[in-house]
This record gives sequence, structure tokens and C-alpha cells, in this order.
Amino acid sequence: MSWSVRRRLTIAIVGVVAVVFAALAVLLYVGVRHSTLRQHDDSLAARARAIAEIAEYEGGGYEMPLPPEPHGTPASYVEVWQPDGDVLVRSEALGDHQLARIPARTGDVAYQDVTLPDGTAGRAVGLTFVARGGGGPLLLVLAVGTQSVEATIASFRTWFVVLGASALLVIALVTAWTLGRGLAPLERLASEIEKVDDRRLDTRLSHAGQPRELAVPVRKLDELLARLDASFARERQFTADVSHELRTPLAGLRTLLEVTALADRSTTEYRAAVGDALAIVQQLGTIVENLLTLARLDAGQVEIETREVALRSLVEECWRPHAALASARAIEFRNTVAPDTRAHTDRDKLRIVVGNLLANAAEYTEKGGWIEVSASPEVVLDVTDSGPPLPPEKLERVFDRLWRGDTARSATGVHCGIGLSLSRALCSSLSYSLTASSVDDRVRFRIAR
Amino acid sequence: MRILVVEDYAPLRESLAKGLRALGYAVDVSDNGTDGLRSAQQHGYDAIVLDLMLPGTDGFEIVRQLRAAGNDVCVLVLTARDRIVDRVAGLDLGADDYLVKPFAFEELAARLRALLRRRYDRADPMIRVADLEIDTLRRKVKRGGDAIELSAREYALLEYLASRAGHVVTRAEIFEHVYDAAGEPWSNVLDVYISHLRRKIDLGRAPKLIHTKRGLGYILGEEAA
Repeated sequence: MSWSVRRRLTIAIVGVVAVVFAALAVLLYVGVRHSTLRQHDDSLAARARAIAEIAEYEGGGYEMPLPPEPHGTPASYVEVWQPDGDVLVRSEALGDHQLARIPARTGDVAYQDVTLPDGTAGRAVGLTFVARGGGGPLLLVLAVGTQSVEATIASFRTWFVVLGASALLVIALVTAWTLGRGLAPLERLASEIEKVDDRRLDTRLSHAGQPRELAVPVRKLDELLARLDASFARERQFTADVSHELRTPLAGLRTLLEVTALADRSTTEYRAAVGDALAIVQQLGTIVENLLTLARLDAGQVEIETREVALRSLVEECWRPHAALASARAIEFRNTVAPDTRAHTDRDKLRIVVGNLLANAAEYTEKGGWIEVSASPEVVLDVTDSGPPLPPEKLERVFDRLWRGDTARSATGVHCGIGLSLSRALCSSLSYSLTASSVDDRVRFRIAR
Repeated sequence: MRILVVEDYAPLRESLAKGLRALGYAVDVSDNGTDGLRSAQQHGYDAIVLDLMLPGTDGFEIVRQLRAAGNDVCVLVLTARDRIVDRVAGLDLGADDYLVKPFAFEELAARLRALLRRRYDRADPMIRVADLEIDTLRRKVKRGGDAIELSAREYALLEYLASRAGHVVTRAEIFEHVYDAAGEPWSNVLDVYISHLRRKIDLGRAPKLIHTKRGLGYILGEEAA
């Protein structure tokens, strides 16, 4: 289980701060200790010099009347040696203990850590001086206990640790809290996203109060959700379209056969019923094919194979199944596409489109009218019929998936809601456009680049 | 009984009309919503079989307008949409029943019968007048225990007269409820059917049940009131 950003950042920051604090504390401590000890040494030296003032050289001999013990606080021990090495004076408290002879140049001091007669730690200063009145260099060693100094330093140490730890704790808490606040938008976003599922694709993430860094992810997520929502809506719509488009012919087929079977019929009646049933079955087949193609186009699963297509013969091929119906309705067909006209496209897809347009024309053109297919350099194909015309508001709706023409253009009441929308989708997969227009009384469907 | 079928898909529309006529109903058809609504408003139908997805005025709107005008004709709705929301919408707007396509023709017929029974306030499918027994469910007629064969038209006329037994039924009403628009309301056609009925129902039996009220219409009952 990986750690949260918040915990990692908190630990990192606190870690860095802790290290910095520790370093600072150590430095400070060392400095304070050094300075304190230095001060102590200086005061020790001053005391030694003060004591040294007492020494006198007179008549070839040294005199040094030490003040009564103890001398100042803390308790101190003194020993003074003459130039020849003999002890001039020494503190009584020393007992048998000898202080170390700390060498130093004349007038100078030197320091040494020593152990005092009572066993405690101490600091000694050695001063080489010349007494008042002259004479050789005398050596004075003054030693004092360092317990109080060490105690002071120790208390510094304790303070540093306590302060440092408290500060670290405060920083840790503040960091954690601040990070929490800062990362709150992320957690809010996460909980919003958690709520999104198939049934709630219409949720949109809130943009208010989002930090800049999240603006792009939030926007992108919203776009993705919108696309998913639209895609699901398309699927739902398609399923509704499918069920509707298939059920009506199925209902027609079923009722036709059931009603026919209700009573004994003449052979003629049976033949007629069988013929009608077959027509419906063919219709169903076309609808299923159209729906599948439309579904594949929707899902982007359709491959386009381009080659040189001879348009005139394609038109002829597409017209052939409708020739009989057209001549029964006295409709004239004119294929004015020049024999050498070619298009660089997918022949099968174009065939479906042209076939659909011609089927529509053959059904809806009024009796005695005409249908003409033409091409021009800017236009792939025009399919024009003599009418009846489509009113302007219907010219675009004709391509809607579920639109079915009104009575003016429903000769057989065939539900062809899918045909034109499929044709348009196929055209756009070929990078063509399919539009309808009404010029005078004619209706023209144009496939253009 | 006169029924209006509004369905834009020709094969279904024609088969429904054929099947319902074979059952003795007078059937009018319409292939779009606008004409269908107009017909329903102008004529008194006993029931309407209505597709919801129609060119022109759609089925929902037709039901809404009929009910808003106080028209309580039985409406049986047909549609390819089977989602609950669509079923509920149709029924809530005022339709009496709902069938999803594709359906069994028998079921449509049975539901129509049920609707019509309710309209004429009869839970019992049998109509009895004296010893005349009409089984509206099976469309069988008996008088004195003997089964009587009637053509679809004759049965339709008899059933309508019997459903209004004891009341005078005018020729106009008969044309409204028994004959569809395809049948021409020539007086003598009705007279011919009445005489057919008399021959089959009343001839050689007592009491006579079918009476003419000069200038008014016909009445089915034990006595000429």
C-alpha cells in the first residue's frame, strides 16, 4: 500500500527540518559551549593574574601571602613554583595532591583539564609571571571545579533539545495540516469521481475552487465524461431505433400470417399473403443490414477500400432492381453520367448510398414523373426526381434516424427511417457530403466532395 | 361495433383491418395521425387501435386531445417501444390498454373484446333476450337452444341491437357503429340485413324480437314498446 502524498511530503519536510534543526542545534551548542568555556578560562586567567599580583621578590626571595581559603567560588586550588622548581605556596586543601605544572611562556597562560583532589573534574590555568620587584619567572597554577559550568552547558543542551523537539512537533503538525488543506481539492475531486458510474455519466466535476494544477485534469475528465455520456446516449438511442425499426415489420408479418391462418382461404389469397410476407421479410433483411452497417460505422469499425470507380455503370447497377417498379409507375429513368466519369472511393459503400437514393426516388416520385442521375466536376453524383417536392423544413430532417416521411411521401408506408441516415453516415466515411434540396418542384440529393 | 385502426405501416394496417372485419367489426383505417385524429373526432367509434409512432400527429397527442375533449372511446395502443416509461406514458395520457409489437392477433382481439365489454357495462359476455342467447365472446348465437349461423355483418348488427335491447336504435346510429366508411349507408342495404336477421332469428319462433319503429329505427326486445 503506497503512502499518500500528504504523508510523504509531511515526512520529507519534517525530516529535512529535523536535520536542519539538528545541525543548527549542534552548531549552536558547540558554539555556546566553546564560548562558555572560553569565558570560564578567561575568568580563571584573570583570577590567576590577580593572585599573582600578591607575589613579591625582595632581597633575593619571594613572598606570596595567599588569602585565606577558600578563595572565591567555586572552590579553587593554587600552587606556585619558584624558578628553581620548589613550591613557593600551595593551597592547604590540596593535601598531598600535586597540581600539574602547566608550562607557558612568561606572561602567558596555558590551560589544562585536571582532576581535583576530591575526584571531581576541574580546569586549571598555568600562569608564568614575574613577581613585583623582579626575580625569575614564577609558575602559578590555579584549578577550579567545572561542575557548575558543565551544569550550565548541560542545561543549554537540554533547552536546545526541548525547544528543538517542540518546534519540530509544531512544524510537523502545521505541515500536516497545511498539506491537508492544500490537498483537499484533490480529495474532493477524488470523491466526486468515485460517484461517477454508467448511470451517472451526466455528472460534471465542479470547477469552483480548483487549484491551477488541477484545472487541466478536471477539464479533460469532464470532456471524457461528456464523450462517454454522448456515446452511451447514442447507444441507447440506437437500441431504441433498432427495436422500433425491426418490430413494426415483424408485427406486420405476424399479424398478416395469423389473420391468413384464421380461416381457410383460396389459393389466390394464400399466394397473395405469401407474396406480401416475402416482401416484408426482404424489407426486414434490408433493415437488419442497414442497422448493422450503421452500428459498425458508429463504432468506427468500417474499413474503406478506395479504388477507381466507374460511375455510370455503378448507377446502372443500382437502378436495375427498381426498374420494374418504376416502369409500373410510368417513371422515366435517365442516367446522364458520362461513360468515362470516375471517382476514387469505396465502391461497395457508394453502391449502398446510390442504391438507397434510387430506391427512395423510385418509391416517392409521383407517377408519370422522372428520375435523373448526373455528375459534374464538383459533384460526385446528383439524384434528381420530378417531385413531389420536400418542404424546406424537412430537407434536413429527412436524414434523421427515426424520421419517417409524412403522407405526402409515403407511397407504401414503408418505414425507411434508417436508409437516408445510413447513406449520410456512409458518405461522410467516404469524406463526401450528402444534402437534399428542393429546386422548383424537384427534389435533388447531392453527393459532393 | 365500429373500430378505427390508425397505423402507418401498410402491411400491419391491412392485416389488422382484415382480421377485425372477419370477426364482425366494422373497421375504418387511417395511415397517419392527422387524418386519424380527425376521423376519431368526427365519428363515434367504439374503439380505436392506435399506433404511437405516426406521421403527422403522433399517437400520444391523439389520445391527449380525445380525452381533453371528453371523448371516452376505448383506446388500445400499439407500439414498438417496450420501455416502462413509454407504457406508462401512454396509459397515463388516457389509453385503456397497451400492446407491444409484435403481438398475437388473438390477444389483440381478446383485449378489444374486454375493452368493449367494459364500455357497454357488461361483465358477462352473454346477452340474453327472451330465449335469444348471444355469446359475444365466441360470437355465437342461439335461439331456443338452436345454434344460428350468421354472417359477420348480420352478427354485428344483431349484437349491436341486442346490446341496446329495449331501446330504439336509429338507422344513423347503426351506420355509425356497425358499418365502416367503406360501406355505403344505403337504406336498402340495412333493410336487407334486417330482413335476413328476421328470417334467421324470428321466423317460426315466438316472441318476435326484431321490430321496426316507423320513422325512428329498430328495436330488439320482447314487445314493440
